[in-house]
Amino acid sequence: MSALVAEELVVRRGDRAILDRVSLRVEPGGFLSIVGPNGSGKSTLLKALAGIWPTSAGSVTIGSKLLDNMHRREIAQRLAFVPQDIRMDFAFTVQEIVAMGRYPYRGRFDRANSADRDAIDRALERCDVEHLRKRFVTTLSGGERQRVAIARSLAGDPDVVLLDEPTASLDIQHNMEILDLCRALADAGKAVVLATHDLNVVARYTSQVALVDAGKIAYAGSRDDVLTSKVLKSVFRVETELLRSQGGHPVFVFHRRQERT
Amino acid sequence: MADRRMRLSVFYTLLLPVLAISILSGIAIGSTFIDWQTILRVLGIKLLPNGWVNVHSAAHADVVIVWLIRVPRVVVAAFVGMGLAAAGAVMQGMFRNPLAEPGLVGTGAGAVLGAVIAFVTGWSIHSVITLPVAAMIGAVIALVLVYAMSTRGGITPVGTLLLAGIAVTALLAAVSSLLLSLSIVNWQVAQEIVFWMMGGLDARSWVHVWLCAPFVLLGLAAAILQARDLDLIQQGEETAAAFGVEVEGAKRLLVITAGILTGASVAVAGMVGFVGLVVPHAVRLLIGPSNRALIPASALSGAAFLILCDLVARTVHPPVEIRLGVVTALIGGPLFIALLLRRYREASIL
Repeated sequence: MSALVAEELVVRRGDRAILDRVSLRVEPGGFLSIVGPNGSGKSTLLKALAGIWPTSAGSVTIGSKLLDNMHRREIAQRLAFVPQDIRMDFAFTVQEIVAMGRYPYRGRFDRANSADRDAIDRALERCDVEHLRKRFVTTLSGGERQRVAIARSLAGDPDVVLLDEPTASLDIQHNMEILDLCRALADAGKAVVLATHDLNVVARYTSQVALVDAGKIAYAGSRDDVLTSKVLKSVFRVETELLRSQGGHPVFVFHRRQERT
Repeated sequence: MADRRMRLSVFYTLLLPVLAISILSGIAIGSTFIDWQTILRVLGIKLLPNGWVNVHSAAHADVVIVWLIRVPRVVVAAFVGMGLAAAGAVMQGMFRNPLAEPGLVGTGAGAVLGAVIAFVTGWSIHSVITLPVAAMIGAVIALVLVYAMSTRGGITPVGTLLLAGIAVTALLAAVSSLLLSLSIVNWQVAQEIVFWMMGGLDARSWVHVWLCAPFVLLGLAAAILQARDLDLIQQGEETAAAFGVEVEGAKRLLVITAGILTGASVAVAGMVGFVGLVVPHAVRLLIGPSNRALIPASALSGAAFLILCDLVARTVHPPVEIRLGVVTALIGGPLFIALLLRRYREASIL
C-alpha cells in the first residue's frame, strides 16, 4: 500500500488554479523531491498534501484513509509537515518544542507518559539535538532550529514526512546534515517528500522527482529520467551542463542562454 | 544570558505572600488606618458561618469601611488585574509578539466609547449598572467589527486583524474624544469622561465585583483551556495546523476570550494601561513562555500589581486620588523600558 497518494488535486484561488489536477504517489521508504520554478505551486502542493490548504477537487489518501475523512489530530499523527517558515520567537527549551510533537496523541491536560518521553528522546537523538535539550530555541543557529523542528515532527512518529525548503537558509554543512537526515528517514521506511529549489540536492539525495510547472506536474519519474538538459531547459529556461561526481551522482551547472553563444 | 528559569514552585512561593500582603495593605491603608486584627474580625463576621465570630467584636464604622468600601475595591482591582494580564498573555501569544497588549483588537477603545455614550446621554446616572454594561456592549461591538473586517472566506490573518484593530481603535478613540469635546461645556460630564479615560477604582462596590468577576473567571478558564493550542500557534499557524490545531477556530476563540477579559475589566475600571503589556511579559521572562503556566501566573501577578497600584493611587497625595491608569503607566512604563533594555543586552530572550 502506498504511504501517500494524491489524485487529481485542484487548488483554486479565485478563478485561478494554483494546482491543476496534480497526482502523485509515494511508497513507504520512498524519497520524492518536488522541484519547480518560483510560484509553480510547490509549497501549495505540500500544504494541500498535509491537509492545511483547502482543495477544490481531488483526493489525498494517507495509508488507506482519505484525508477528507480524517480529523486534524488524526492527520497530525500520521503525517508531519515541516513548513518553510519556522517560527521560534519565544524562549521555549528544545525539549519543550520537541514535546509539542506529542500533542496530537494527548488530551489537553494529560501529562507526558513514558511512551511520550521515549518518543521525544528518540526524536532528539535521531536529529542530533539531544545535547541541546535544555537550551532555549531562541539561542540556536538556523541549522539547529531546523533540526529541532524536524525532531518535533518525528516525535509524533509519522508515516509521511513533508518538508518545505528545509535547507533554504542554511550553509553547506547544515544543508547536508538535514538532507542526510531525510535520507535516513526514508531508509527507515518513512515516506519523505521534499520541496526544494536546489537541483543538485535532488540529484544527490533523492531517487524520485516531480517537476511542477504552472500548477501542473510537468514531468515525474526517476531522477535520471526527469532531470535532463532538455526538461530543465523547457521548465527553467536555462542551459544545463550535466557532469558526474566521483560518487556517480549527477551535478548540474547552469548557464543563462546568452552566456553560451 | 538568562538561560535559566525560575521554578514554578519558587515563583508562587514569592508571589503568594506578595499577593496576600497587597490584599491586606489594600484593605488596611487609606484615610483611616485599620489594623489587621480588625480586618480579620470583619472578614470573619462576613465570611464565616453565623456565630463563629462575635458580631459585636468590630465597630460598625469599621465593618462599613472594611466590608463595603475597601474589600470590594481591592477585589475589583484583583479581578481587573487578572483580566488584563491574562488577556495580554493571550494576545502576545496569538500575535506571536511579546509587545502585544489586550486592547489591540479594539475592545478597550470600544468599552471606553460605550462608557462615554452612557455619560453623555445621562444613562449612567440611572443605575450603577448602566455604565459597565454600556462599556461591555461597546467592547463586544468593536470586537465583532474588527473580526468581521479582517475575515475573508473564513480566514483571518493575524496581520490584518492587527491592522483592523489599530484602525478601529483609532476611530473609536476619535469618536470618544469628539463626544468629550462636545460635552466640555457640561463640566461635570466632561470630568467623569476624563476620569474614566484615565481609569480608576474610586467608589467601586460589590455590584462592580459581580459585574466583572464572572466574566473574568470565565475568560480565565477559557484561556487556560486553550493554553496548549496557543503554545502551538506561537510556533506559527502552519505548524499549529500540522500538529492538529483547527487554527481559524482556535484564533476566533482566543480573540473572544481576550475580548471578554478586556471588556469586563475596562467596564468596571475604565482604561488602565500597561498591566496587560508589562505583567505577562515580565512573568514570561521569569517562568518561560508555556501558556499553561504563564496564563494563571500572569493573572495572579496582575492582581497583585493592580492592587498595589491602586493603593499608591489613593494614598500618595490625599485627599486627591491619582487616576489608576496614570499610576500603572508611571510604574509600568519604566519597568517595561528596563525589560526592553535587558532584552537588548541578552539578545532576543522573549
